[in-house]
This record gives sequence, structure tokens and C-alpha cells, in this order.
Amino acid sequence: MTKKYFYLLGVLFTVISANAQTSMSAKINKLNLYAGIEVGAKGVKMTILQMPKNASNTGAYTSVKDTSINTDFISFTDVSFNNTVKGLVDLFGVATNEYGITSNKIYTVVSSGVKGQAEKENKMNLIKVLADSFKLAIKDSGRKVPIIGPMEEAILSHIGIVPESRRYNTFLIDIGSGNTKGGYFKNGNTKELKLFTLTWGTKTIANATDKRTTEDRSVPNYQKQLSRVLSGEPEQEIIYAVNESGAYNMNDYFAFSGGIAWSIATLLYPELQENSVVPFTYNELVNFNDKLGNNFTSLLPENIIKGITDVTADKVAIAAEATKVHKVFDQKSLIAGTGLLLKIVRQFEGTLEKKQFFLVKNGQVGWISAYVNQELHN
Amino acid sequence: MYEDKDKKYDILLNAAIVLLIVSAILLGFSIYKVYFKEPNTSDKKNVIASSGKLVSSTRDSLQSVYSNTIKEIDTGLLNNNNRDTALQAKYEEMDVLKTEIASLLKGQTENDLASAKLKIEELQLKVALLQNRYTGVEAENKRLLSLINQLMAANKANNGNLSNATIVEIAKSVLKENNSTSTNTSNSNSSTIALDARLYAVAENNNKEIETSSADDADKINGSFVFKNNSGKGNGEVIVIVMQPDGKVVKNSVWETGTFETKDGKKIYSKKIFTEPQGEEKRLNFSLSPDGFMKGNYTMQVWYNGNMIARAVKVMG
Repeated sequence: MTKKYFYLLGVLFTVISANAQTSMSAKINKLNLYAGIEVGAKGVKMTILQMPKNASNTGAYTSVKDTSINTDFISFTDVSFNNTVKGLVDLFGVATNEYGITSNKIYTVVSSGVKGQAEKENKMNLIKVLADSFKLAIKDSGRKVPIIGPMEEAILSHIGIVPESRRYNTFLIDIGSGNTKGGYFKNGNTKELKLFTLTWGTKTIANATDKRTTEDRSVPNYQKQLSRVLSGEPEQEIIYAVNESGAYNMNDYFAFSGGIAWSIATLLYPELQENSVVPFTYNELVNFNDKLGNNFTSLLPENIIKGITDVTADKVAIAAEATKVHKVFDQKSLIAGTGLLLKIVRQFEGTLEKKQFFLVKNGQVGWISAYVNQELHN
Repeated sequence: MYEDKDKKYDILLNAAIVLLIVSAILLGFSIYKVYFKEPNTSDKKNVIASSGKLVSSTRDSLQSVYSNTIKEIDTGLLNNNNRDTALQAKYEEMDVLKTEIASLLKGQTENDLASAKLKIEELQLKVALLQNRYTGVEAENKRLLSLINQLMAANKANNGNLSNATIVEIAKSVLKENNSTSTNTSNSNSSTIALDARLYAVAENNNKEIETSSADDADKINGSFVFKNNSGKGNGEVIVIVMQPDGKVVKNSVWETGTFETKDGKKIYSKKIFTEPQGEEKRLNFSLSPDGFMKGNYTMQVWYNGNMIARAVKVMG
């Protein structure tokens, strides 16, 4: 009889489970889900995408999940190695078990940043061992774990972020923490990208400014010193790189990605919280920079919300995103990053021919989504 | 001994399970009775009666609005005998709507009346647009006739050297000149205008676009207007907002939308259209392809240099 009782409970549980699964599958169309897992310099990152048929035309793929595990792989220690293998296996498990994505729809790659560092430290063999260990752990000996080169990564970023209709007249620039890189398709095809690189990023600019402000740490002094830093080597490098790229004459649209682009977009255009890309003008950026220094409180989440007149706006989500920005960047980091962006944008702000500028919020999803798309078509 | 004990437990367990099942059934039945069960016969009669009353009163009120709208058409518009092809098409559109409304008003359900309401709103809008246009045409004709009479009188006084056809041509050219002066004068104040603003939905079928008012069938919402800027102000960026019935802005691609400043604060736009800041009047068109359409009013606003210069509504049923 006890067996019968447990049998009844079992049936009940099965029914409840089935209902739960049905409701989950109703929310997500699993047939269109793909996952890209990338081993980057900082750790393992996974992006789950819902790919519509015309994603490449509209740039309208949906990022269902974007998650990462910090493992610091490029320190190339035993601990970081083991953590990276575990990170890969765990995220692969999330994709297969939680999202029901089959193995053939999960792409695993090693980013160019890892390759560059491994080459410098003569650790290329570790990348191979990492791939083998991962394949062994998931029992998939045929799995490909390719290393993506910097050019391929830049090309894929452009393809993944910029819609096809603007592919050949958009200059995409990624402002990272340690450097700035990007490019545009010069010859009307996606095989060759005219690369653009700067050795300056938000963090390096902030560090150079910090060094000058050890005695007076006030914001006005920070701004003054930042202006001096930017007017030195970065400005020369920017002018040279922009002129050398020939980008001004060849492009109508200039899109900026990276953490600082996401931050500015979130704080400056909270009404467009749902949009992954927002347009901006040079003057709007100048005003924002002024607010950062002189009226920073107006950019705090509670004050941003007050200024929104659109009744349909999701103020809770807007406040949450703005809070996230303030957790990642403090006032000075925002000033430093915005200062660098202003310097670059200034080079493209023409008096006769007006260019259009955009801030890309989800740049990190770009190249992996393009990679998934490319593999799908292959 | 143990077997007896086991038997007792089994009986108790069976009884508990039976009680549990009976309780669950009773609970389920109660919930069903409270929330889902149809009302009893007398309740049902009351509900039908009250709902019937409601439907009937809504129908009466809609019928009255509809009759007034028809009256406006009959008294104000149908007397106009000089219909060009475009005008004739507008009348035909209204005739189709009238037939649909009349049929819906005979319907027995609330859905029929809701659809009728939407279609009456659409008809009212078309009538208002046509009235504006007709008033302009009528005034123009009156001016022309008055001028012809004056010229004929003058011609008669001067021994009638000019033919009637020549007089009509002279009158037309004088009127054209006057109109152009008066337009320039008024535009120096209002400066920027968007005329003949139109918003319409289309269904795509075999690469052909067919105009529709059905939210279920529509694939795109298109708009057009004639833009003229005599102010010399602004940078040539004409901003279009299309709002769906729930107030959200319709967007094509995230690369085409953005925000702009107005006196009432920031607004999200659907699309920016770039044109020459100054120059001859130009018809500007745009097209938006949202993921889906809702029933209700779609509103288009055209903005230039921080001012709204045109508005149009499309009713989707």
C-alpha cells in the first residue's frame, strides 16, 4: 500500500513537472536558440541568442542570456586553467540543460586576446590542452574550439552589430579599458576591414589622470588634469589614426561600443532603455560631459527617473540599469571615458558634412552572434 | 502480530487517501462553482437582459454619432460636383466604410459595436480631412467666379475685345499670383508646414501593397506628407512619431529611432527624414514594419525644429 501511495505522489509530481515544462517552453522558442561560448582574457563568456531568419539584415537578433565566469585564464596558472575548464563545462551544461540547446547549436571559441597573450608568453600549448580537456569532459571528441584572430574578431563584431543596410558606410569603434579598436569595410566586401587602433582606453586614460591628481583629488582638478592628459599623446595618436584610416570620407555613420558607450547611452537616453543602439550628437555628448563634472547628482538613478515624461517607459528597469552603470563606473571613470570618446568624436564632427553617431550598448554580443550566424550559413 | 498492524495502517492510509481525494474534488467543485459556473437561470436572464440593455444603449449612441457624421457628408460634401479622381476615391472609401458600419451596427455582440465605433472614428476623420480640402476648393471657386465676373464687366466696358476663354485664363493666372503671395505671407509667420498628412496601413501580398484597416492583416504602416519650410530655420531633419494605441512609439530598427527635445520634454521618434532645410515643397514618405498591429488608433505626428507641424490618425480594427 505504501508503494501505491508513492506511486500516486509520483504521478502527481510528473503532472506538475510536465505543466511547468510546458509553460517554460511556451516562453522560449527553443528551436531558434543558439549559444556561443568564448574563452576570453578575463574568463569564459556565454551568449544565448535567438536568431530570426533576417537577423543579418536588421541586426535584430535577440540576446536571451549573456553570462560570464571570471577565471583569469591569461594568468596561465594551474588554478586559472582548471577554473576555465570548469567554466566551459558549466556554461555548456547551462546551454544544454537549462535551455535545451543541442550540442550542434553550441559554438565554442577562444578569443584573439587569449591568443595574443599566449603567444607573448609562449603558452599556445595551454590553449590546445584547454580545448582537449573540455572535449574530454563533455565527451565530445569531435567538437571544434577554434582560435579567432584579431582581424576575424573585428570583422565579426562589425557584421554582428551593424545592420546589413549600413554595413559599408559605418565605422565601428570599440572603446575598451586598455585600448580602442575598430574599423570599417573599405572595399564594399566583408573580407577586408580597414583596422583602426589606439593604445588608449578608458582605464589607461583614467590611470594617467590619476597619476596627476595625487595631491588634489577633487573633481574639478580631475577634469583639468584629464584635459591635459587627453591633449597630449592620446590626441596626437587619435588625429594620426583617424587621418590614416580615411574613415571620415568613407563613412556616414560612426558607432561606438564598449563599456563607456553602454554607460553614456544608459544615463543620457534612459527613455531608450530597450534599444541596443542609440543615436547621439556631439553637442549632447558635450552637455553630458558637463553634467558629469558639475551636476553629477542629476545622473543618479532616482533623478534620471524624475526626468522621464514618457508614460509607457519602464521606470523600474531604467533605474536598475542606471544603478548597474554606477556600480561599474564611478564619477571619475565616467569623466575619463567620456573625455576620450569626445576626443574621438570631435575628429568626425564635420561642419559641412554632418555624420551620424551611435552608441552601441551590447557590443560584447556582437562578434559571437555574427560567428554563430556565419557558422549557421556554413 | 506485525501483519495485523500493517493491515490497520493500510486501512488508515486508504481512508486518508480517499478523504484527500474527496476533499480535493469538493474544493475543485467549489472553485468551479464560484468562478466558472454559468449563472443560474434567473441570474442568466438578468445578465442577458442587462447586457442586452447595454448593447442596445451603446448601439443607440453609436447610431446617433453615425447619423450626424452622415449628415455632415450629405450637407457639406456631397453637393460638390467637381470631384477629381483623388476626391472620387475618397468618396468611394467613405462609401465602403459606411456599408461596413451599417452592417456592424446591426450586429448583436459587443465586438460588433466596438468595431463599429472604430470605423465611425475613421469615417469622422476622413470627413474632417475632406471638409478642410473642400472648404479650400469652394473658396477658390468663389474667388475665381467673382474675378471672372469683374473681368467680363471690364471687358464689356472696353468694347469686348477679349474672348470669354481668355478672360478665364487671365482670372486663373491673377488668382494663382495672389495665392502665391498670400501663401508666402502666411508662411513667413507659420514658416514650416506639412500638408496632406496621411497615415495608412498596408498588407503585403505577392510583393503588392494593399491598403487595409485590419490589425490582423496589416504588415506595414506607411505615412506621407508634403513638407515646406520657408523659415530657413532648422537643419532639415523632419521627425516622425507614430504611436500605437497603447501609447508606445512604433519603431523600425533601433538604428532609426532616438529622442529629441520639445517644450514638453524629451520624446522618442520613430524615424528621422532628412531633407533640404530650405527649398521647394516636397512630398516625404516613410514606412514602418512593427512586429504586429493592435486594434485602435495609430497616431502620426510630424515635428520640425521642436514644433509639431502635422498630425494624422489611422484607425485599425
